[in-house]
Parts: sequence; structure tokens; C-alpha cells
Amino acid sequence: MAERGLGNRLKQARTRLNLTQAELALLAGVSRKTINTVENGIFIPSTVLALALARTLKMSVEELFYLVEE
Amino acid sequence: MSDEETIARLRYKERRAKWGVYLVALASASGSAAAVVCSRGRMTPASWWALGVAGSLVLAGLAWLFWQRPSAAAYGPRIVARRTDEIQSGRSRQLWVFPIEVLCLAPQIVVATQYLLNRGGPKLLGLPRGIATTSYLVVIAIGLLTMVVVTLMMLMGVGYPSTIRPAMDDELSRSQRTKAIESGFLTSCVSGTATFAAGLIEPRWAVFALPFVVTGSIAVAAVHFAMLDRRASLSG
Repeated sequence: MAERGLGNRLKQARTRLNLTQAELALLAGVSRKTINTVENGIFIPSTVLALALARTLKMSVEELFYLVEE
Repeated sequence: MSDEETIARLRYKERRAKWGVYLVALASASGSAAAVVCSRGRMTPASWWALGVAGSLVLAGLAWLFWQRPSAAAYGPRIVARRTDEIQSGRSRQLWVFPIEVLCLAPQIVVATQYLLNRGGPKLLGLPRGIATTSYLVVIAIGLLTMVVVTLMMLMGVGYPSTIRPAMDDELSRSQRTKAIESGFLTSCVSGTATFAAGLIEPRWAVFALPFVVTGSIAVAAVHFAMLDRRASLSG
């Protein structure tokens, strides 16, 4: 069975809105480290956090996150 | 008062508290060193005085720190949101103290274990055997208990104002904590097995190693957490 990872377009979405990691963190109610680790694929967010980030960036979760077959 | 002014005041109080902790640690270390120097293998009245003065200074310092701590109200949700990274990084820096604490506890653990293995006696403390043995056990227990309590405080935000706790226990912290505790557990499994094997050869080795298995596992978990947190800050 193929391993699945989680890709994201968080950085593109954030820079499109001219937001820094710290500003997005403040808007989403999380730490800057959380944004940083999600952007870099180090940390896979929970559904709640994914929904919160998508709502903050005015996108759907599917637009923001996608599955990567490894 | 603006958020910036509140944050500046909090930082000032935290800096002062940090120096308070350093002074308390220094008082404790100096008192213990003085007691060791004065005792030369046997507790004399001067040793007891040194320990008493150091203990009083430590208690006074802790009381001052408790009195000076900022109230939960000072950490409003806006302030905490703006300082989450700072609060988390401060916590991670404190976790690096653990390996140092293990090293500091090591001589005490070795002496105490040796003392217990040799069935105690009045040689080191100048006290009747039963009381001396109990004192040593209490010293070891306090050391280990401190490590466990401080680990819980640092990793889970136990004892911090309720408004700060969400920042100390957010989703990323929980994930890092899980990985760190896994490392600590793995360390305790491996070192515990090695200790058991050593004990089959020579039981005294196992008795000597056991406190290090406990303290070492806690230190590994703490350092791994600090490393994960540092990586989370740097990988941008």
C-alpha cells in the first residue's frame, strides 16, 4: 500500500495575501512555529487546525491541502 | 496601558525572576559545597549551619519568586497570542537545564547509593543509621520528584497561569511532546534492560544504574522536546 503524505499551498496562499507567518499565526490563533512547521511539511495539522487555516485564508481545505503519493 | 507597555513590564518581571532563580540555585550550590567542605566526610555543626543558611536562602528566594509572579490577569488573551512563540521558546530553553541537573545530581546519587549498599552507618552524616539512611532516601526522592514536577511544568504548562496554558499546550506542542516522551520511553526501555542484564551479573551495578535510568530518560525526553521546538523555529 502506497504511503500518503500531506502537501500544502500555505506559503503561496499566505504570500498572496501579503501576510507574514506571525501575522497569519495571530489571525488563525496559533503560534508562528505552527505555521512554519505546517508550511515546511514537518507537522501535519489536525482537521480542526486545517479548517481554521483554510477559513483564515478564505480557501477550502482541499485547495490548501492535498495528498501526495510517496 | 498599551499591549507594548504590558509586554515590556512582563518581560522586565520575567528577567528579574530569571535572575532570582539563578541566585537561588547559586545559594543552594554554595551551601551544599560549603557543607561538603566543612564536613570532610562527617557532618559537623558548621556543615549543618551551611546547609541551614542555604536552605533558608532557597526558601526565601522561592517565596520572593512566588510573591513577584505576574497575575493571570496580566496575561490576557491578546498578550498571550502576541507572545506565544516567546513563551514557548523560553520553556524550551529551560529544558536544557535537565542534563545539567542530572550531572549535578550524579555525585549525590553515587554517594547515596554507595551508602545504601554498604548498609549505611553513621560515617557520613554523623547520625544514627536509620535516620541517616532515611535522609539519603529523602534527598534522592526530592531530586527525582523535582525533575518529574519541573518536567510536567515545562512540557504541559502545569502550574502556569490558566491564560498561558493554551500557548504551552497547543497542537504543535502536543505533537512534539508525544515524540519527546517516546524518546524518553525508548531510552528507559533500553537502559532498563541493560541495567537488568547488568544486575544479573552483579546486583550492585543495577542498583547504581537505576537512578541514572530514571533521570537519564527524563533528560532525554526534555532535550528532545527542546530540540524539536528549536527545529520548529528555525526551519522557516
